[in-house]
Amino acid sequence: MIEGVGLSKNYVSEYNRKMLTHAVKDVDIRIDNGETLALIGESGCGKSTLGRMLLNLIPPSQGEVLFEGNCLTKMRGAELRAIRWKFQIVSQHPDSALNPRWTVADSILEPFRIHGKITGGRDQKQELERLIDLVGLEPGQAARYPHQLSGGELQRAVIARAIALDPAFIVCDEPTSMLDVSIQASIIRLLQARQKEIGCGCLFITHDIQLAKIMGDRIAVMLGGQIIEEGKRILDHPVHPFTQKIVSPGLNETAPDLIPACECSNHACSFLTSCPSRIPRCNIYPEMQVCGDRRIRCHLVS
Amino acid sequence: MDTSSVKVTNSFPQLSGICDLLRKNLTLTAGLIIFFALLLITVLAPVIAPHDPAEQDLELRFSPPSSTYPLGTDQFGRCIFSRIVYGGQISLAIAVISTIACVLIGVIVGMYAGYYGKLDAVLMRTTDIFLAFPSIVLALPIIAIVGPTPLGIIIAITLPGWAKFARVIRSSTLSVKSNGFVEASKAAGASDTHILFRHILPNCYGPIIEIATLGLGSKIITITSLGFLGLGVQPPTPEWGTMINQGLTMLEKAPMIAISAGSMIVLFVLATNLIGSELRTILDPRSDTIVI
Repeated sequence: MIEGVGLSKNYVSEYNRKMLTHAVKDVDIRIDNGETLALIGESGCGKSTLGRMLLNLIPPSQGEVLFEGNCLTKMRGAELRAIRWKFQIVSQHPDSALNPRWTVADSILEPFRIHGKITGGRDQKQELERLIDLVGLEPGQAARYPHQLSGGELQRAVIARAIALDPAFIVCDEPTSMLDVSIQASIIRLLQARQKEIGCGCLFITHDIQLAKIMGDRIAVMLGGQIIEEGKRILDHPVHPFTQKIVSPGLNETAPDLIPACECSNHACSFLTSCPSRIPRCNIYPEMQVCGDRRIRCHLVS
Repeated sequence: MDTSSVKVTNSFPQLSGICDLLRKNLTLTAGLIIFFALLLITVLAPVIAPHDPAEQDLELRFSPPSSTYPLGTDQFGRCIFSRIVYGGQISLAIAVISTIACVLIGVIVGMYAGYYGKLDAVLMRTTDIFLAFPSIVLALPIIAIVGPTPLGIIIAITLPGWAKFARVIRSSTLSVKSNGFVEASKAAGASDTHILFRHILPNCYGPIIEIATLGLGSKIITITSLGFLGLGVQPPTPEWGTMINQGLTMLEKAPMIAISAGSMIVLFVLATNLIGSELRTILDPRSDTIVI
């Protein structure tokens, strides 16, 4: 089980130290073993930053990441590196995810080499055969260089590397958005099957609402650096006005006049400016509330 | 990308395939032959040279090429051929050693600044100073301290030279660092050393080889400008750059001095550029044009 408590990430402008960008604001997130949390949201809302903070690739400005009770954000150096293999990432761009100067096989076996789990050459060969068989690559393709494979084949290789050491948690950052539609389904099926087999937790970041419904045991919707609604069937029965808007686009287009900028303080609700059903209280930051089987940040539910 | 049409060509040479590689890649072969020929000539200088390079015969000044003096004699009646053969020892050694030193310093400074970013601003402003400072002005005090020995000249050339390498390697490091494979390697628990030397450095080979081969020739010319100020290799020690410099004033009386020394530098630069450009292609698996 991996858990993020009060995670925030602020970026400071290099030229004006007072200019802060809140990429992620006070997010609580929990992913159990074997569970998939689908994270959806607009571009630039902080989905990828949140995923990378959980993997400790970006240090959070505030908050902690807990893995089975151990605080990852406090670990340093060798201690952190030794636990790192339990978390893996499948990124959006398969083209740049493999070193162009290594064969695909070398890239897949990199985690073994880093952690020295395998010594003899024979074992490495066996592991390689097992992995490329699991992800559906041909042995001949593993001997090639990344530029000689297609995007779908590269993504299979990336998945093979990610599952090489049987991780406990995988972040899939829009793994199919750069692929052809015809290949997307097979990659998704592959990811589902391997995840079930290993029993690892998965944070599935996507733009695609249908994909989120298919993949996610639970779904979280992100807006302006915050998770605004999270639960099991929130896309079928949306409560938050933003979730309602993204589930049925075109319905709530009649947003009221924009509020003057001076009223939109940092402490207001992220959706304030275009919320169709806002109330004066929305100028105050809504706290996360538990409402049935879902968590929601909106004054309207209370 | 249509993969069915991609032929599997393992473009990285195995040790056993080197002869095969040389047979098929004539550019590389030509470069290597010239390079090793030059190296052989300079190493075997005492055997090849017909005369002592410092031996003067004032009765035979500016004599034309003959059987005793294959390239004629200079203004002091010294054998030009012997001076060319011996001159390579210093020219090649200084050029190669100072280039290697520049690459080493440039790689360390550039990768440190680009990867860690901690001292990035400080290191890059330091490189700016070295880039902006006239190299001759920097060389003057160094040679004044160390003396106009080969070691002093190497230091005087290396010190202004590393900055260009650091700059280029830093920018390559920055662009390679943002790739997904570096992130994935970090996520898999790789140490910084592993990421720097297995992922980032190999992806910087292209620009490193490029500026190193370009710099080799210009380093020999830099020795000349030092010689102009009397800070270069001291006479009567023969050296190619200084020979061109002196030969230019006597181009009508003894054209062979400047021409032969110039040809040697051209050959050396040609050889390193041929080897460099081919090496770059061979080391990069993405260049499928080479079939081995």
